[in-house]
Amino acid sequence: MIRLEKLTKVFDTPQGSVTATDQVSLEVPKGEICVLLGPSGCGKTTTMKMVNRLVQPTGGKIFIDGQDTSAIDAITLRRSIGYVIQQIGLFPNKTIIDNICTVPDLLGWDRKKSRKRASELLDMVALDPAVFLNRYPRELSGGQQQRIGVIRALAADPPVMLMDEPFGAIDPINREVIQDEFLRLQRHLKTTVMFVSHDLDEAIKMADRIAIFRDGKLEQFATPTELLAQPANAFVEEFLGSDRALKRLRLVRVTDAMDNAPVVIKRDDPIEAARQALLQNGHSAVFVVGPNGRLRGMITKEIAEQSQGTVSDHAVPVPVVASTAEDLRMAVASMFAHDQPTLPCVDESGVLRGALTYASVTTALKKTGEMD
Amino acid sequence: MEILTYMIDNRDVIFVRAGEHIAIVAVAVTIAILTAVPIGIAITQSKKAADTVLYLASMMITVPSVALFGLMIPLLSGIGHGIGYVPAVIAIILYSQLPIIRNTYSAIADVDPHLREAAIGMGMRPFQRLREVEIPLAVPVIMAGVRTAVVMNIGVTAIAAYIGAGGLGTFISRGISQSDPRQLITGAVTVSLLAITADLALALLQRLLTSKGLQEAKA
Repeated sequence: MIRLEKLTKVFDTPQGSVTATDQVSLEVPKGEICVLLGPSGCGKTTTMKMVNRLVQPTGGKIFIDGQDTSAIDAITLRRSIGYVIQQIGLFPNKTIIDNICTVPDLLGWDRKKSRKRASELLDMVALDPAVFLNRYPRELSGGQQQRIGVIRALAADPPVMLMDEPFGAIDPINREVIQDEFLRLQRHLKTTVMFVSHDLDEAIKMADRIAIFRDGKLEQFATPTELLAQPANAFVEEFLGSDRALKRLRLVRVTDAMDNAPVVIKRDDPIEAARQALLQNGHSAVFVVGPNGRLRGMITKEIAEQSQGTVSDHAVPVPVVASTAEDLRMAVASMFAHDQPTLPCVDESGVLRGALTYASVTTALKKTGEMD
Repeated sequence: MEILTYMIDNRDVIFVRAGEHIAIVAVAVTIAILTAVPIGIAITQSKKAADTVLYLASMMITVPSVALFGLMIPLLSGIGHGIGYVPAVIAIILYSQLPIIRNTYSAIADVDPHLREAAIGMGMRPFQRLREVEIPLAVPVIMAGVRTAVVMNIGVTAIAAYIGAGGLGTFISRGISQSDPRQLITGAVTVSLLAITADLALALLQRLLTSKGLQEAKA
């Protein structure tokens, strides 16, 4: 748990004093990820760096797990807080294992134990310890280096972790993978994370709570859903962008937005049955399922209107399906990409569970907006 | 041929002189490392101090060695060491300051600020930061400064023969005073060979002291 109470930082510059962080109060519950978000120069990084006292606060208090950190000496405090920076900062003169064990070594932990823990952490980010332990940072790709940067911060099992745009310098494809990996790791270790970002999409993906900053002031502190549905003021609304409704797609899972009772027909039903069903529910297609409910094909409106005979004579393959576990953003993208106004949703064994339509997506978004 | 014969006939003396030469440079440069490296590190804390110290060290190096030896005679006579080994060592300590201080200073000052931030953020104390990160990263550049100092001062030591410090310079000074080209060339060649050998040996040491993580990847 991290709690900031009226945290303030005033820098004295030759041009006069500048308030980088202005009376910021917020609380990150244990095990949650809080993303500090805002345009550059908004005070988000300064705010974060006061937590491990890389920046000395001018006023206010910081509590970690209920303890006022001003009573702890800076060195002890920093060793108890994981720290990841955008530039990674692996020590080029040390092997990967020694890099990971930096803090355990500073704390004087048993070397055997810390090295074993380092191997476990490497496994958790899908890097083979046998291959990587004795390499040097320069022998690794950027993505691999940042994975090491993240597990180095976790090596001493800190209850709290600070991350300064950790994935900002990684190419978009690797970034998604590393973000997912980090989320898994974080859920597993239940670390409380404060994370600075300027990327709204990243914030929505990673955060349990988002803190929006402007000119050192906290403009809104809310869950991603709440933030996108109810921006507190004009600044937040503008910062989120006019496409914030689209961003909410990412927060809803297909299974929560799909129409649970799509009309299904069997292979030996007459086409007439498909036509009747389409007239009734107004969808663009009905889906053909096998005896166990697996999706086998579909009959579109055009086919139903122009054909005679049984379903099996005319069924066509489904160009694209949504998985019930994925988020709406991908699913809606598929709907547009394949001109598929009724998108079948299947579970991992291929059984048809529902269908997404534009109407069901709209209803789901509306529901999440009202929930908060 | 005549010179080669001379060298072979006098090889015992050459080895003794070379030993004296090495002893002066080795002792002086070792002491210089112990003073110049900490000074180089200390002055990274203040730009003004760095400018002043580097300026003084540069001035030092412009004093001709013969003049420096001359200046030390009255100063050190008081303790009975106006000439010989002691003033030679002191001169070399002074001449070694600039290359070692300058290289140490720029190597430590050039450490990537993000590495420093990571080290501080993880809770390293200033001394731990130096030991674990900054000095290991600076070693190749500091060693380059030491090599410069050694090569330069093997030359300076040759002149110290004039104040009775011994060393290979003895052949040169005698060669000049006795108009004996055999001694002169023997001195010049052995001093050069010693400088080249010392440089190669230090290059090897530099490689051994540098972390594998910092060495250029082999193509």
